[in-house]
Amino acid sequence: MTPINDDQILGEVDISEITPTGKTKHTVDGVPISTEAKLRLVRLPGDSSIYLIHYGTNDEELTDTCHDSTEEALEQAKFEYGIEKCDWTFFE
Amino acid sequence: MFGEGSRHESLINLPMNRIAKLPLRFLVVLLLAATWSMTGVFAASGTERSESPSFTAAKTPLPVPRGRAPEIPSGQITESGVLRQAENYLRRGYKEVSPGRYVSADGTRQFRYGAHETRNPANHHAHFESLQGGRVTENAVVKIVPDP
Repeated sequence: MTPINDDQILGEVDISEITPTGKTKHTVDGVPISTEAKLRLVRLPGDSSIYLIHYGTNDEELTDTCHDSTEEALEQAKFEYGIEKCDWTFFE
Repeated sequence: MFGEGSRHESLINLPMNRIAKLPLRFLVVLLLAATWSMTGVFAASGTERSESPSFTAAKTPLPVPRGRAPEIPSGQITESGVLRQAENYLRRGYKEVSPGRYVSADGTRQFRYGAHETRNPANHHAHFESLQGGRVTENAVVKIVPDP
């Protein structure tokens, strides 16, 4: 995936020490993803959706989910990791 | 049941010249019995015969789970196959809720194949997702490869 520009990142949270709730199963080419280190909220140019992007330990994009709003994306993050809005660092 | 069946079969196998000599009323009864036997009318009428476990087992189809979502594709899909797979996954009545994002009529399945998924030619992919209460519960990234 092409790199995300900094100005497209709305927020991020470190999840390297957090155990997922297990409520969501992510696979890439049929293989479950693992060793997730970070989540970012991203708005891409020309797209009103908010992407919740999962990053690995080398800052590589692993997968993402797509949401209608920042609040929806935060709810998805809470669903998957139990993290609250106050755990996030926001950039805008 | 075996006795009935064997008697019934022997009557059906009577030579035509002997059948022609049988009384009309008997022929009608014989014809009705053969028809009922073939269409399973005994089972539908709730008679004693329909309550026989062996008869019911032979006529009842296996239960099919209803409302079950189709399996999420995984691995790789060819360019020409991805839209067909998406339509199979979403089934009829799906909607495009935002550019490149499609949701099934019952709101439980989502397919994503928009600008974000196609922006890098080296990583052309699509997402097949399961939704529950608005949350993503399964997210399968499937690589899209050129047609052979």
